Amino acid sequence: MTLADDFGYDEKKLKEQLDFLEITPKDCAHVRALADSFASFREYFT
Amino acid sequence: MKSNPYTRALLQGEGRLERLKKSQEDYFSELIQGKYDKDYIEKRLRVGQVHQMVGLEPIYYLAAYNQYVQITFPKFAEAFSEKNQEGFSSLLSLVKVIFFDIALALDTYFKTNTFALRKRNEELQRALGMYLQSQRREEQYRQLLSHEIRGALPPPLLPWKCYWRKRAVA
Repeated sequence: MTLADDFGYDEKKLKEQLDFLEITPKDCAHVRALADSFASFREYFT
Repeated sequence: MKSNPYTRALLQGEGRLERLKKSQEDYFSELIQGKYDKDYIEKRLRVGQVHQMVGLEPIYYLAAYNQYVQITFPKFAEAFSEKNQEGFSSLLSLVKVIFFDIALALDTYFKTNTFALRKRNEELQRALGMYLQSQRREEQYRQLLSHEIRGALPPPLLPWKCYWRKRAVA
């Protein structure tokens, strides 16, 4: 059993959480654009 | 993190800081992949569990996250200076994802603490049960002992019999 299972994070709950925070595929694309925009993205965090 | 005595203490130990840097690097790479599935949640929950286990209180986790936001957002804004709207939308999306992660981390704290409290409560219940059982046995033993003592005594010595005997004589 995974920790996610243990915490009750099935597909339904995951979708509920993403919906609740209004995280859409568009947001995922926006976030990916950030990574694409920074060739040296990692240096900001390390 | 090094400037605070509490977080500095957590970083003591060979290679701990380097490991943290590496895990943060991996974390942010995953954060901006835009893929939030069960595997992603599993990793976030595990990290939250480790935070909880090493005693990193939520306020320090939030403070560290705030530091990342304070450092990185101006850099994002700078990078998107010529594409204001796109940059702004991306940052708003990133904030949503960050809140999603914070919710997962806090969930780990609450659930792990609740689990620990429940376990402690069960242990207390068990201990109370054992105590009550020993009390009952002690009472049974006392009654048994009392019965045996009374049974072994000669009848004239029993107080109520002495009383009635005295009354009869009088």
